[in-house]
Amino acid sequence: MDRQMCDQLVDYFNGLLSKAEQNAFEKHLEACEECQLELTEWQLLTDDLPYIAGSVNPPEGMKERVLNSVFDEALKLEEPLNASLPIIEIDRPLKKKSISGWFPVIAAALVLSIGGNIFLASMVKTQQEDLTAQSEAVDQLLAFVNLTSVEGNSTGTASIVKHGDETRVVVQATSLPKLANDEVYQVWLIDEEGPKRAGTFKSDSTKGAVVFTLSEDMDKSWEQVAVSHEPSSDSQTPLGSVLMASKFE
Amino acid sequence: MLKQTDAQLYNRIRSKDQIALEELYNRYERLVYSFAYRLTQNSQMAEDIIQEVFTKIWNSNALYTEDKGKFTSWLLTITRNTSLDILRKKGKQQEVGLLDKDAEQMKSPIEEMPEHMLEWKEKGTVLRKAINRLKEEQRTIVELFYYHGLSQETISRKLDIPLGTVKSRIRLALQHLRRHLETERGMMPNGSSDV
Repeated sequence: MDRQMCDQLVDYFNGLLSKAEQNAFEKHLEACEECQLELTEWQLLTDDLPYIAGSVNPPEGMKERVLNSVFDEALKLEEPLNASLPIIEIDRPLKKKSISGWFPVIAAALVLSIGGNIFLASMVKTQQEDLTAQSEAVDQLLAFVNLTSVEGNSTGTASIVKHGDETRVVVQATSLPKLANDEVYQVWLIDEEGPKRAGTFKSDSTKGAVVFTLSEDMDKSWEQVAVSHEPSSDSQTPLGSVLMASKFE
Repeated sequence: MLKQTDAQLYNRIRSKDQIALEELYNRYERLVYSFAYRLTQNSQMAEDIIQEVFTKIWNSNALYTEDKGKFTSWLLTITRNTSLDILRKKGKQQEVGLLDKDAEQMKSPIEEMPEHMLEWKEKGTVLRKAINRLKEEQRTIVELFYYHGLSQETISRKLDIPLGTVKSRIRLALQHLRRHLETERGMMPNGSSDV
């Protein structure tokens, strides 16, 4: 056998060969039984070595940053969007555009089922980006407000977006208080008749978001938007404390 | 609902199921991050690495099939390769002598103990003991080869040994380590000797 080739096994194992050398070694590997056996042996011998690592606490917020970036990359790579995603109707392939300033990157949030609309956890960000992309392309941004803290220090934004025949409310928030048991965050749209439910969400971090399609009778002009901390997703009027609120101009 | 195996989760990821990726991430965040941190000694680099590892998985740039062995081993191999790549790109050399520091590790209790965490802890304890039984020179060669991913030539220079003997010395050191591992494992209360 070609001894010189066999000697490259260490550098091959450590990924140090150039593309050409690597191809040549792999070709050699196919024919050299000794190298095949040795490579398998090295893999087995080193199998346990990663476990030397002591358990290190990941930095705060790493999961959100990593997953956002992974799915973000994927959006750039995949056009059109994978049609099997259970997200709000998309009637044509989307091109991802840069997200405009009014929409900061948010954490994946778990959204509860409301009125038959089920949004899945990590889809939210995607949806919102879709929504943003769409709104940049064809939709109309009807209203946008920064949400002001009422109780605690949560902040966020709320937008109302016209998409085709539909009107959607997009709310995202940060510094949310922790949820216990069945507790949820509830978005309300308010006019002289009082508050109407406009999206429920949960989050296992302090950030969260929801996209809610307004029913026909709710597709009108609203005076205020608020987010409250509710004991469950059943509240028909606000029962818990109001975290944030703002008036639409 | 029964917990899905890694391979099942992986298959869902291949069909672009974001929830499955998140679940896999939750399962292995700490292990991948800790290993990347061990290799780079830098939290920002370790975060970049875990991000790249999961991007590779999501985009199927790294393909797992069951004939590649255990999913965890495959994941850790990808983590090591990615770490070594990033270290090389940054031109960063790790300090030698980390194996001594490793003895300090794992003293902090792990609160949540998914199954692989238990395996991790057990393997880590046995491995540290086994490494300590290696001769100094063998320990160094394992460290330079595996944890630093150095080339044969660099190892030959660093240790001042003939290039032609590097490969056989690494192999010998790894074989000794394996033997010590088996001995140590045999001494563990629930030690298995299936290797």
